[in-house]
Amino acid sequence: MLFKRMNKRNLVSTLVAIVALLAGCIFVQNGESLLWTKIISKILIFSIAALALNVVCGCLGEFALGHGGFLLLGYTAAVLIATFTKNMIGADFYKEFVYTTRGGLQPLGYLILTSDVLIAAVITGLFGFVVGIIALGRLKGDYLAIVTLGVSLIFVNITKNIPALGGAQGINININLGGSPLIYGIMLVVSIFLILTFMKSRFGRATLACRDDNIAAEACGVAVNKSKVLTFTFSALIAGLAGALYAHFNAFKPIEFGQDLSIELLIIVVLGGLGSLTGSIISAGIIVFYNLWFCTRSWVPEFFASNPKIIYGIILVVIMLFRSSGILGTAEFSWDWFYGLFKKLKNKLIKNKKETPKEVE
Amino acid sequence: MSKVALKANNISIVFGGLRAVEDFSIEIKEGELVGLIGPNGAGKTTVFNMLTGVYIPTSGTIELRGVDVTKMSAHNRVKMGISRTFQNIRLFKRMSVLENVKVSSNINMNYSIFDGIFKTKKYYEQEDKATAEAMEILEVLGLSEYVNEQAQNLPYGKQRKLEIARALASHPSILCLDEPAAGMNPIETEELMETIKIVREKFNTAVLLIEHDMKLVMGICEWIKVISFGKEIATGTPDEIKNNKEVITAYLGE
Repeated sequence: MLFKRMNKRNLVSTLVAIVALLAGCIFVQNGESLLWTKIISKILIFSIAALALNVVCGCLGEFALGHGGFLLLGYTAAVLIATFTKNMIGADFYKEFVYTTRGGLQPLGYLILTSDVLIAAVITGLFGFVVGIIALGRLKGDYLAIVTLGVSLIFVNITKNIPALGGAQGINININLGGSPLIYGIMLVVSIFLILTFMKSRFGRATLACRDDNIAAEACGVAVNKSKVLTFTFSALIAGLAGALYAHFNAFKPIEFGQDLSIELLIIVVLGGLGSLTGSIISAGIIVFYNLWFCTRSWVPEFFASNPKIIYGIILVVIMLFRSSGILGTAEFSWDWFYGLFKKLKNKLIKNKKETPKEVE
Repeated sequence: MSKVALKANNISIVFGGLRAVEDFSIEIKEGELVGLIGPNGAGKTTVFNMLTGVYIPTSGTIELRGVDVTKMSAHNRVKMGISRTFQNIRLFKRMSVLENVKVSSNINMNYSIFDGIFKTKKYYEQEDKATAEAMEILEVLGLSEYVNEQAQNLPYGKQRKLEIARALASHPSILCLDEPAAGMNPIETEELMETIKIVREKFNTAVLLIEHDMKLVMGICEWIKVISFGKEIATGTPDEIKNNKEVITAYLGE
């Protein structure tokens, strides 16, 4: 049923793209370079997180400043659940059936990892639901931004001050399930799929209607508050997924969560274009690449290398002045556009060939 | 003859110390075309807002097809068979024309979020039905060539029509039009008159019309209610209204 209406060319192209993405992930995973594994992983995870934020900021048109908090929640939930399961089942069993001898994962390991991550995402979604009910029904615009900011501060401070939830250093994860680019890639595909189909359904339509005009939406029979809470919950769930994935990779420290992360995600979304999923993914790539690759080069001036975030402010100012809609605006990638590009290129080439003889004459 | 589509009994609303509308009553039967006129600031739009659920009246009751909806919220009232357009156009600007209309069809759908994400048979059935209906409405209103256009790119007159199309998609038994001819030139107004007539016949809906354009109101309405300073001053056929002394006084002064 799912792909019944897709035309064949697009369906095949999509499948090829997904396979190529996953193959790329496996390639990186098996490669020697830890840096590249880290970069690709972080790009994939940040893409998911940015998509989640974009659902609220772009599609719902509300300004949320606290998605870092939801990532942290997903992270904490994933770690706690993973620790719990490991203690329940026992380390010996893990040695035998979960890990391979080279530190990778057996099929059962992948199963545990996936369910861990998904459960954490659902828990975060529940928290998002509560926050949504409290905040979205009454508040909008700046006030909502302030409340979400406050909520994320609460999350951050609670986890910082309760040792069982991590303490100031963050939870020390010994249960690392060896999250790998492959898993992140799969989860990114899943998130994109979820968001696209959600937005294509009656729920997504209601969301967009709320973005464009609350009063008119209400007059068209859309239960505006319910619709907003649903979308916010959905967004929190995806953000929780990103946070949970973060938990399973050695190279990331939980200390990275907090307000900085919320702002970083917001910059990614604004840079890519509010409402453009493609834009979010592209700009997540740019920002992470800049952070992890560019700033670690030896030829980069010391000033930049030690203050990578200084560029964020500049990016925001420049984007707002010259292209306030972001890189892509609200445009989305589509196969029609992609193949149209080829046709245009071809036409241009043919034209050039035809025109050259005339010039000679 | 036919059943009552909308009935308001002595509704009043007070904002602070201001009695914006006082003891307003109206009864519209199915399929009727009724005008509501009055000088600027008379409370016409306030009446509309009470009927459609934006404001809850301070006193009085409102019934839709015999059901008391006085305390019902606006989006639930749409399900009871009332829909409206706005004085200042309120389209979903960045959505396509078709999607604009389909937003109103949402109330006729009941597939779950699971159906929506995995696109089950139910999803396709309901979405297809809504699309077909929306296309039909757009066809009647002469918008079928703009289906995939963004709503904000339509010319002004078409935007007005799209608002009507959107209001029709929820299968209303009464359609409230708030100054549909505002800002239109005489030719567009004439076209709109035709549209309203066609819509009413095709979709079998009663129409309540607020309008300043007297030619339009007198031309198509079966009967007219006049309010001034929140109070009803006259009810009658267009001819009766034209010769009513109080109405002339309200509009032109002594």
